[in-house]
Amino acid sequence: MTINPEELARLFIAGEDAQAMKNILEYLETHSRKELFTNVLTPTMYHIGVLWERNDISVADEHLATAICDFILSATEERNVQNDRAEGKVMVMGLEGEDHYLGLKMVASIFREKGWHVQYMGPNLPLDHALDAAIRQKPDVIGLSAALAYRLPALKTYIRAFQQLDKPPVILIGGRAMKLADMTALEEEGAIVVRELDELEQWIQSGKEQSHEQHNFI
Amino acid sequence: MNIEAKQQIAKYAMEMIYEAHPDLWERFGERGVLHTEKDNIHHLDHLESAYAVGQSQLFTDYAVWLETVLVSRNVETALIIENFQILIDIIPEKLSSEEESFMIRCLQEAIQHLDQSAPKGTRL
Repeated sequence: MTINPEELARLFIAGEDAQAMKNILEYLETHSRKELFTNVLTPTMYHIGVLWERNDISVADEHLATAICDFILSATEERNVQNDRAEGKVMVMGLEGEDHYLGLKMVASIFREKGWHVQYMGPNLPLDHALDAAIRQKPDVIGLSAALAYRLPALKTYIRAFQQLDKPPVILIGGRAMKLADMTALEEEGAIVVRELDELEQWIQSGKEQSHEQHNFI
Repeated sequence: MNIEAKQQIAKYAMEMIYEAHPDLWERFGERGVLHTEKDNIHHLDHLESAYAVGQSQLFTDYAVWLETVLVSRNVETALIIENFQILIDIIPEKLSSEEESFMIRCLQEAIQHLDQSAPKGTRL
């Protein structure tokens, strides 16, 4: 079974969450969750963004669609696996003022599937609170997301602050903004730019192989 | 640029636009005023980001996106261009010369792009 993102967008906007969920559960019988994220939910939400840009749908429609997508992300996730031997600890968060969070949830979910201990902090986390949490939790990795290109200066500020920690975490940067502008400036700051969930998966896999070789995490 | 400076510029830009086009009150009401100020903060945020990464294209891309959003809501391309022109006039007093010249170049490039892409009938 395949799902046409524009058709799914229509169901989201119409508030037909039960039908949307039914289609997605059928899709998941033959596809992975990463495929669902990459090939279905992300293009669906991008299409909804385009409809809003063209004034074809309202802010309320867009919020309804986001809420249904959020519900689907949560409802299709398996969290009943007790992970006593986590591959590592990752904190996933959105910058202060950044309200987009669906991509963050997808990233958190991919990490969980790969056996990581995930602390999903949600969107809009002010830097002082993020730093405080990082000092207490000492994550191996911090995942930051920015949907809009104008978050770049704030991303730089967050990256620099996390790098000042006693045990600086690896910093992964993702989100739609990565596709909208050249991110060399952030890479120069020492962050790793992840443009697609495929890239994230590859990065997790290569880090795991490296750690097994070195008996040392990443 | 701190938030107070941005708010000051945004308010001034809004006042200049509404002074030049009093019909905007009738067309968009109080909401239009609020949106104009808010939009100008966004323009400045994007200019700042473009400067931070040294890419004027980032602002041009934003201008193209903005045009789609505003034209579909009955705001003419010419008004966006005029707004950017007002920013070119205001910004010099507020920034360092390097940042100022970069942002003005961004605004000029965006104006040129919008001017070329604007279909006939969208100009005031």
